[in-house]
Amino acid sequence: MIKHRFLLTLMLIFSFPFFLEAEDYRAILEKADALASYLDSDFSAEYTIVHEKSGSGRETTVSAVFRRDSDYKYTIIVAEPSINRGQGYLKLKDTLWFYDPESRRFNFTSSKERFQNSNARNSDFTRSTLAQDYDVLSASRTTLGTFNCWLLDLEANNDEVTYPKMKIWVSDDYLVRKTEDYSLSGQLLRTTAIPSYQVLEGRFIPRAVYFFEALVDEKTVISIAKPSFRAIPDTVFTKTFLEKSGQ
Amino acid sequence: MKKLFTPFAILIFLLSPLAGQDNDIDSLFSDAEDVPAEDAADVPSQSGDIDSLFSDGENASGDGQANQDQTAQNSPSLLDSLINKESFHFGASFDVTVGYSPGWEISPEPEFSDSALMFLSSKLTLDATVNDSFRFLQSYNVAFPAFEPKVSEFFADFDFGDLVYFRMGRQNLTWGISRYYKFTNLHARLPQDFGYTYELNSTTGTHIIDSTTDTYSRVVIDSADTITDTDSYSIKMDIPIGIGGFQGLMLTRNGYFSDASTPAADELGWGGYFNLALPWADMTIGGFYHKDLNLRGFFSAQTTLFKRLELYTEAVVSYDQGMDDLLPLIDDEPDENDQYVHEADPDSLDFGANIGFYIDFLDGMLEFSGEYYYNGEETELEPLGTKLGMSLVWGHNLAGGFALNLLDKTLKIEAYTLYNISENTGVAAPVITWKGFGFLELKAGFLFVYGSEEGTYTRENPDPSSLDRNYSLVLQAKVSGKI
Repeated sequence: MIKHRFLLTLMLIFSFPFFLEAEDYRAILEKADALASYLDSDFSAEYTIVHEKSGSGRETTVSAVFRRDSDYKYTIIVAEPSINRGQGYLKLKDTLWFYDPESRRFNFTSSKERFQNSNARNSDFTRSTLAQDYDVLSASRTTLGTFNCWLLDLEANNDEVTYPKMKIWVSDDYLVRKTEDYSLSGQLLRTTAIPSYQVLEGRFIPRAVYFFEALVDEKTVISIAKPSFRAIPDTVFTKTFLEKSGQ
Repeated sequence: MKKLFTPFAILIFLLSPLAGQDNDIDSLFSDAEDVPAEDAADVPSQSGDIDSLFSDGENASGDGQANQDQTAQNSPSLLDSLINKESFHFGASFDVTVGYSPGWEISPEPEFSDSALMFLSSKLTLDATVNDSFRFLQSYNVAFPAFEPKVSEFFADFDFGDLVYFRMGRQNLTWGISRYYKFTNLHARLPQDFGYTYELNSTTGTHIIDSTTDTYSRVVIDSADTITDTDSYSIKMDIPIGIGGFQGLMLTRNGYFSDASTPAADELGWGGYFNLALPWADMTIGGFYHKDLNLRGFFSAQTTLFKRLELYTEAVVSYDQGMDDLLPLIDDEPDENDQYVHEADPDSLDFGANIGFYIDFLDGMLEFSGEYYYNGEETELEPLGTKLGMSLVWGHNLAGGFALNLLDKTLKIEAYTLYNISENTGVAAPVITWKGFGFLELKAGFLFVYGSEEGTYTRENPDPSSLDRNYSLVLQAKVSGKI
């Protein structure tokens, strides 16, 4: 009898993922989105981006990031390096305006592009919409270092996203710890890791985000400092602000 | 006033380092620079090792749940520290270009040469924020061989409670979208007396252009009378509305006014636009008036399809308020000066429009752009900043280009062309640029015109000699730096 209970317990443990339906997996994504988005307040922080590429050395970019996730907006002002100082990005939903202080012109561009030639995409700076953009194909339990995680296989349900397929590791506290981004053919393109978070006013902010390109020897680290949830004036999210902040 | 400015600018630059020790805005980010250096050192060398990042969290508790949490403090306003802090910033850049160009020399001024290139340029910039509502910027260039300081920008910014923003002084302004034909950059249009004029082909003396039976010839003004310094001075007012907003502009430039210190009211140009920036499109409508120019209005719109394909269109309407527009008779042979004969344009309204695209692949490794432009305007077709220094040509135009960025974007192979269908005339420029060695840039380009020998691009190519050579080879090495 005891042996049977033990076996039953083991079966329950190992079959635990199968008791969850697709809707439950979606709930995991929704909770992960909620923790990575700041819908009830503005957010600002200083992002330091170190990009390393084999043979090209290390490039450091320092930017001020202002987010208003509730309106799908962000503004980024580049402070360093000096050659790019004053460049600015203004994103509204899927549309991105880029301001170049040299030419004093705005470019109207896609948010799929790389940010300052690093491995980060312009879409990496905005609110998370995993549950909205992806369907869960499969799920399993796994460990990632010291973390117990859900490993979810995702496939995009629209063609507006940057990557059509993803694998995502979500720890039991619903924080995204790692992602693998794939092409439509299943080719691994990029791996992202978020080993630790900082907590401010009960909300989670990555301390550092690591990006690895799979096809070339490139990596990028984004360190996030000086976080704040204070209100940001509306004018920060205007072209005039980019022009004023640029040289 | 202009003479006083140069010693003032030099004085400012000499004195400013004394005060710059405590006010450099770059110091705002000095703390942050230590963070990535440590993090980058800890980054696994290969993506396969990335899981090691999760093995030894700072506060590992063994249950795998708490090692991520570190309480942070709400930081002082980034906005105040980035934008509003009293500070000033110095910038400096230096270019040295050497090379050989048997043909056109595009920079600094289009002309034909068969000599070695030697060009040195230095730019100094002072950008000072006095408080959250007031800031000023000045920058000036010194270039070899003239060595005469030239003020490239000199303006002040101030605003009233984030409602209205003003920028006044000498500033770079660009309206419009097109990569090739900047016909909607209305304030950059120049009236005919900036470099050339039209003479009546008769001896009847004073004449009012009102007859379609008279003809005129385009004549370049003597160099002594030509206005080469077309710097502008302006007051710009921006009122943010949504992401875009309204911009008002009052502008004048050298050549419009006779007394530099006191331009008269009727020597000023007036204009403005309204920009509606939506998530799916960016639209602008505006206009510009100056008494020596045709009155013009413009419209532009751009959007991005499939998150990749940028589409744009622009249109301009021009009203000949002086009734002095002339129409080139392109069906006739050019005159003895190789110029088309002109006659009065009976239409007071002209129209121009374009449609174009830009798309890139493989993270910008491969870029394509193209544009169709119909130009129904006959006059004031030499706006500042046109591609290859070429004027806008009446009729149907096509433009296109591609760029291939290789070796981590250090090697760029590009080519572009402008072609006028109506006159069967075109200009093209394949260029190879290599930036693989620090501050050194090597460039090789071959510029040439093609098509009808009577076409505008051939007739107006920069070769001033009678040979009228229609090509140019540029080989140059450029060393540049900026801080």
